[in-house]
Amino acid sequence: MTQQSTAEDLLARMAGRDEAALGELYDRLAPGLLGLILRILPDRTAAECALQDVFLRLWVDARRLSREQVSVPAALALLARARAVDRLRFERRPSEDPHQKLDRQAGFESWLPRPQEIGLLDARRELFKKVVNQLPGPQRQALDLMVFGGFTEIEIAEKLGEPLAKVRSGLLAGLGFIRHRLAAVMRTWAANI
Amino acid sequence: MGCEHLDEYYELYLLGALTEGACIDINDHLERQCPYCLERLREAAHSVYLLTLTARPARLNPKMKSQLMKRIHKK
Repeated sequence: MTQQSTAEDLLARMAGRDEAALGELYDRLAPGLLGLILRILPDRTAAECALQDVFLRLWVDARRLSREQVSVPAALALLARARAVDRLRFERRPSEDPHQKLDRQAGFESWLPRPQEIGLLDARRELFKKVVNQLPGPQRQALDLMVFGGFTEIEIAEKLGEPLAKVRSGLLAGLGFIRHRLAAVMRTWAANI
Repeated sequence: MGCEHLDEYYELYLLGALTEGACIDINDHLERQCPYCLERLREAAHSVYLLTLTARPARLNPKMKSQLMKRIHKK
């Protein structure tokens, strides 16, 4: 039985301009990425356009990202979300330059997760979804507005009619909960190696 | 200045939820390749990745793949 290539193997082939590798990676990851983008941009045409932009970006940067040994699923998910949020914010306020532009942030590839870290998260995907579902309703609502609604903390406070400090502390508490649960699983995994 | 005052904000930064002014400190540290900030940002990326996984996969339009392949030929 042949072993399936990893997403990072496919990226390495893309760095050598292998179009079939791009096609294979697209077949594997595009449905999840399109689902993510559609949560942010409900307009199907806009979402499909954003998805193509993300894969095009990966094609252009394949050599650099492959050299840095980043996790391809994580890079694509973060890029897809950032691209969709930028587009959504532009639709809301065309006169403002969106400041997310994740892939233009300094040292983008130097802090992207490594393949083995994301492999671990993917293997426990269902468990981690339960972790997110354990968040109290108001924290989950504020996180959803931030992650999928593309709102800043100030906009969330306005939308919910709550003081900024309360919204910020709720967001930080929710994110802190997720971070600590993730760290606990990571530590257990590292100890078992 | 150390990085402790930034400790809680890396996820918000990564999600683009901070105001532009509040991002400046983290941007400064990243431009200097601050090892602590890079490591914390990597951890924050794990959490953000996890949150993106809560979206359900969608059915693809078969034409999209051929359009993508045409676009890469123009690059």
